Amino acid sequence: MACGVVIFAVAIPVAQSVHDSFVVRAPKVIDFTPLSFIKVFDLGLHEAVAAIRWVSLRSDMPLVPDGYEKLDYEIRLINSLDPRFSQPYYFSTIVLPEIQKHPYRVQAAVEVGKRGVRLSEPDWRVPFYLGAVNHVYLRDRGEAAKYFDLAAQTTGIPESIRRFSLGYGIAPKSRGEMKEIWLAIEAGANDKDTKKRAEMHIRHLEIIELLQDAVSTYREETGSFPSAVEDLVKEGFIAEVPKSPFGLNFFIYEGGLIGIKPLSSG
Amino acid sequence: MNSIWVIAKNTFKEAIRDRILYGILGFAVFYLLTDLFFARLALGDVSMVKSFGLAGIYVCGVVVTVFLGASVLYKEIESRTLYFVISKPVTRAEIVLGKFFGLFAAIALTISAMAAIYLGVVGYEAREFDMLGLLAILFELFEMGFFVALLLFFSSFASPLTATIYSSILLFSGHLLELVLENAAQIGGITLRLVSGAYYILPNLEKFNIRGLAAHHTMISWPVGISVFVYAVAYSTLLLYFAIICFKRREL
Repeated sequence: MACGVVIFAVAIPVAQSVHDSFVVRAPKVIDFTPLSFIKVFDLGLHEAVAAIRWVSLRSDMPLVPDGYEKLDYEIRLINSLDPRFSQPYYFSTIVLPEIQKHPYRVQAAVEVGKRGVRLSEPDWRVPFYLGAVNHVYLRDRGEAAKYFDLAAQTTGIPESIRRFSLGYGIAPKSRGEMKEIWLAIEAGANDKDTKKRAEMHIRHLEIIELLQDAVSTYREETGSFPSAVEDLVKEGFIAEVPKSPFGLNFFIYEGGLIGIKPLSSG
Repeated sequence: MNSIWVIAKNTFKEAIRDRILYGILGFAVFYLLTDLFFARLALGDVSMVKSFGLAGIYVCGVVVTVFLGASVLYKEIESRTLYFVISKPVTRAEIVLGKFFGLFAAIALTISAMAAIYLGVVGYEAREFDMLGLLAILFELFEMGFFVALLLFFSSFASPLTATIYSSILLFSGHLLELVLENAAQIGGITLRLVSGAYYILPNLEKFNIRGLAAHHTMISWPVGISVFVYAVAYSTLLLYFAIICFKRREL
C-alpha cells in the first residue's frame, strides 16, 4: 500500500515534469476574448467573471506581460462586463501612469478614470485618483479641482480626504489661480449643480482671502499672529467669522496661514 | 389537493435522500468557503466577495435543479412506481404538480443552506447583513422555480438527457435575449421585429438577475420586484399546464 502511494507520489510529478520539458508548445498568441463571447456563455454572471478576470489582471498589471494593447483591452473588457465595479477604475487610474512599458500610460489612466466617473458605483477613490493624476502628471489644475470636488461630494469619503479635496488650491500661491479656475467653471457651466458648486468654491476662497488679509493686518498692528480666527473678531478686525459653504471650520497655523478642518473637530 | 401534498412530500423526501445532492452541496459549501480566500484577494472590496458568492449559489442551484429535475418523472416510470400511483385515485395533473412542489421545496432547502453560508461569509467580511444579497438569492430561487417547471415540461415527453439539453439551451438563450435584441436593433427591419417577438415570447431569465445590483448596493424598485415575481409564477404555471397536457397524452 505504502509502496504504491510512493510510486504514485514519484511517478506523477516525474511524468508531469518530463512532459513539460519535452512537449512542443504552440507559439503563444495574445487572446483578445470578445466581450459578446463571454456574455453568451457566462449565464448572466458578468460580475463574477469581471471580478475573477480583474484579480488576475491586477497582479499582472505592473509587468504588462502581453503588451499594453492587451492591458488596455482587458481593463475595458472588465469595465464592460461590470460597469459599476469601481476597483478596476481607481486602481488602474492610479497605477497606469507609473507603468513605464505603456507608451500612453497617462492618457490611458485618464481615459479609465473618466469612464469610472461616468459608470462606476459611487466611490470617492475614482474621481480622487483622477484628480491626482491630473494634478501630478498633467499639471491640469482645472481638471484636478473638478475631480477633487466630485470626490468631496461622494458619500463615504473619509473626512481627512474630503478636507484635502475641498482644500485643494487654497494655499496662498495657488489661491488666485484656483479662483480664476472656479470663475471660469462657473461662467461655462451648463447645469445648475456645477454652477452652484463653483459659486461655493469661489465663496470659500474669498472667505480664506478675507481671513488671511485680516491675519496680516493683525500681525502688522500687534506684532504677532492671532492664535485663533475668533481673535480677529475679538480685536475687531472682522465683524464675524464667515460660515464656510462646505460646513468646515477655519483655523490659523503657527505661521499665520489659514487652514480648514472639519466642523466636528471644533 | 391532498394528493398533491402527499406526492410533493414524497418527492421532497426522495430528493433530499439523493447522494448526488450531497455531492453538489458539499462542493457548493467548499466553493462558498473559498470566498473567504477570495476576499483576501479583493483588497477589501466586498462587491467582489458578493459577486463571487452569488454566482456560486446560482451555478450550484442550476446543477442541483438539472440533476434532480431532469429524471424525476423518468425514474418513476423506469422503476414502475408511477403505475402504482396512477392506479390510485390520483390525476396526472396532481402528479406533475406534486413533483413540481416537492422538487422546488428540495431546491429551496439547498439554496437556503448555501444562502446561510453566503450570509455568514459576507457578514464576517463586511460586518453587515447582506439584505440585497438575500433578495438576489430569492430572485435566483424564482429562476430555479421556472427551471424546475421547464425541466418537468420537457421530462413529460422526452428522456432525461434530451430534457436536460433542451432546458439548458433555453437557459442560455434566456440570458441572451437582451444581448440579441441589442444587436438586432443595430440591424433593424424584419430581423428586429422577429427578435422583438422572440424577446417577448421566450423566457427572459435576465429579469431574475439582480446579482450585479446586489453586489453594488443598488436597490430594485417594488414594481420591478413584483413584475419579476408575476413573470416567474405566470411562466411556470404555463409550463406546468403544458407539462400536464403532455403527460396526460403520454402512453404509460
